Amino acid sequence: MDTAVALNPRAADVPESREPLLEVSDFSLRRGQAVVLDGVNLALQPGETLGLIGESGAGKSTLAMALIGLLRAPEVQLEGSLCFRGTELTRLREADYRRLRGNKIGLIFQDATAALNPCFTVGEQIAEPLKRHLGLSKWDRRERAAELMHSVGIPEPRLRLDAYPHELSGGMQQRVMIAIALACNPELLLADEPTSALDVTIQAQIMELILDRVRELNSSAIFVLHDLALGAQVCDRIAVMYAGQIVEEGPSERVLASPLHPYTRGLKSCVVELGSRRLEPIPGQIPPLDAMPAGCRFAPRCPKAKAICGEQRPQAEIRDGRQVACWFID
Amino acid sequence: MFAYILRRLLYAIPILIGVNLLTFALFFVVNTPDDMARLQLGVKHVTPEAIERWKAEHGYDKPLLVNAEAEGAAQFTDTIFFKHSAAMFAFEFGKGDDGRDIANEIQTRMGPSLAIALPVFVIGLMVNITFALLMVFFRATYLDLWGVVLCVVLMSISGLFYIIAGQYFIAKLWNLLPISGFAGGIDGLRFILLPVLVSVVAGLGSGARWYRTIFLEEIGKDYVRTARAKGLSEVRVLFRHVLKNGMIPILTGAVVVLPLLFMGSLITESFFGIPGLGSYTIDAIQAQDFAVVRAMVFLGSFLYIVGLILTDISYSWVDPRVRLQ
Ligand SMILES: Nc1ncnc2c1ncn2[C@@H]1O[C@H](COP(=O)(O)OP(=O)(O)OP(=O)(O)O)[C@@H](O)[C@H]1O
Ligand SMILES: [Mg+2]
Repeated sequence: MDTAVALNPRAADVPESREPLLEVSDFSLRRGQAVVLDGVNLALQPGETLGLIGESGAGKSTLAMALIGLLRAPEVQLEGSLCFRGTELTRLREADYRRLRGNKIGLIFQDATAALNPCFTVGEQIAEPLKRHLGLSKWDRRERAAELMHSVGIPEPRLRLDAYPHELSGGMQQRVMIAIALACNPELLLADEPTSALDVTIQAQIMELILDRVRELNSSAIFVLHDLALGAQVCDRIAVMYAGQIVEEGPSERVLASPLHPYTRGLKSCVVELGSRRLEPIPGQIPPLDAMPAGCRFAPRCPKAKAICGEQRPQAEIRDGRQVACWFID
Repeated sequence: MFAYILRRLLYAIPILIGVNLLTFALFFVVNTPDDMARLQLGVKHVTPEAIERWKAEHGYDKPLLVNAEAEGAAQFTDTIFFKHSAAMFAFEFGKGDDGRDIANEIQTRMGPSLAIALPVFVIGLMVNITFALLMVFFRATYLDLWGVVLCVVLMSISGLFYIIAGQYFIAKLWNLLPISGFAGGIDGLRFILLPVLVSVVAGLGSGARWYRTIFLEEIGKDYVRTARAKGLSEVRVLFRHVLKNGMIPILTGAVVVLPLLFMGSLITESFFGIPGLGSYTIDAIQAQDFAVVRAMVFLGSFLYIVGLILTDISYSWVDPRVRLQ
């Protein structure tokens, strides 16, 4: 069994009984009055990859920032639980959280050009978590940084150690970003649209690279993506997010093959019919945070909405091995 | 880099010529030697002979631009423009009304000016940056708010008030430091402390508030989020990542005044009796010693141009993205 997992760490083979690496239960995040994340439930097994899909403003980045603890009280108000390796993150002291950040949890940002500090060499920036979390000596840090740069496919890493970010191309910068996020072999990698700031020609390369590295380290990963088909292709599981809620979550093949939630269907038909990356599957847009419908948040745009949808919020149900929040799952 | 500096220095020449012509126009065309003489001799009972005598004594009895009476090259060299304006390019400023050589005076007075201005610059920069970073560290709390209020109060008070208050309390009432004066060497330290302290406090409000804005702008940038995502503490994020980026506008903005430090501060020096270039200028203005004022205007412009060149060079020192060519 174990060897099977190691060879093919896909969700279908991971036994249900294993302790999840990350368990998000009933997690809500408010900014004052605005409920940005509403009752999010997610579980991620070790070695599993999850694609977080949804249109702009759905709250995907907010969830990622909350997971790594960069969005906490008093800036925002949290409810529910974020359990990582048995540790409750929402109540973790800031000093202890810092020990996880960049160490057990890594984060890749969308725009590497802005996310790298222009005043430090890439070698220094990769070395920083090595010093902070692993306490490596200066010489070891340099060695390890060069190794990391090599592992993310940067040619001649020793020459590039002393380069400043602006001396590298966008793709190379994103590779540096990946090296930083993976420097301490995190158990959970969060990648917030890791390729959308890049040239289309290298997007696939970078995606491939992250997946390779994640598999090699046997880490879990959450990919924030716009594209349902891409998500289903690269991730074990898919969570579709709409207006701060997870409307459907389950194994990739099943979600893509037979989406249950009308919103997921809309996403899928958009990809299939238009073949484009732009997400405008259904007419309308996410309602503003201060004017969320009382019932199902998707109801105003839903082709199948009935009276009850506007009045009561549907609870997530387990159906066909996935959770779906809709009144009319057929 | 070297070629760049050389080119900038060459560019500076026309600017300096312009400055020189402007000073000439101000001091000899708008305010003619006759006017100077009349001012110096007093308005009443000034005979044309007295004016001519004064002009001859001070070397202003030549024609302005062209000397028709002279022969050959002397036609242009034996003029006020050549003797008093063009000569400044060689830093030949002539003599002041007290008969002392101005260039000589500048040399001996630069030391005392620097002894005050340099510590004020360095300590002021460090104090302002630290204060600004502290406010940023406590941003959006009451400490930050009161810090800003304090800054606004400090910058709203006249500079003279700090001098007088400092002299009154620290020197007169508590007898901690001498009220004014100057001495060379280690002995001079006790004379320097009070003016430096007063100047640093007087500059704190505007400096710290400005730097706070710079740091606050930096702290919203993405690379700060990356630094936090590495698990760095807020202090390290601020004092390493934000500070280094914030130093770019701060240093390059401060470098321009660096050469001007030689000229000291007009008010501080005269209040504290520092025999520097600042008090020299003030005295010259009061005594209507035009030769000295002219020299200081030219020197100030020259040093300012040097400051601008240094600013450009400093960009390439502190910002890795900038390369001079
Ligand atoms: N700093 C902030 N202050 C207030 N509201 C915010 C802030 N950041 C995000 N929001 C709001 O939170 C909601 C979720 O935003 P978030 O950035 O998480 O969306 P997203 O799914 O990542 O979208 P995108 O695909 O555009 O990145 C949006 O309605 C947004 O307006
Ligand atoms: Mg986002």
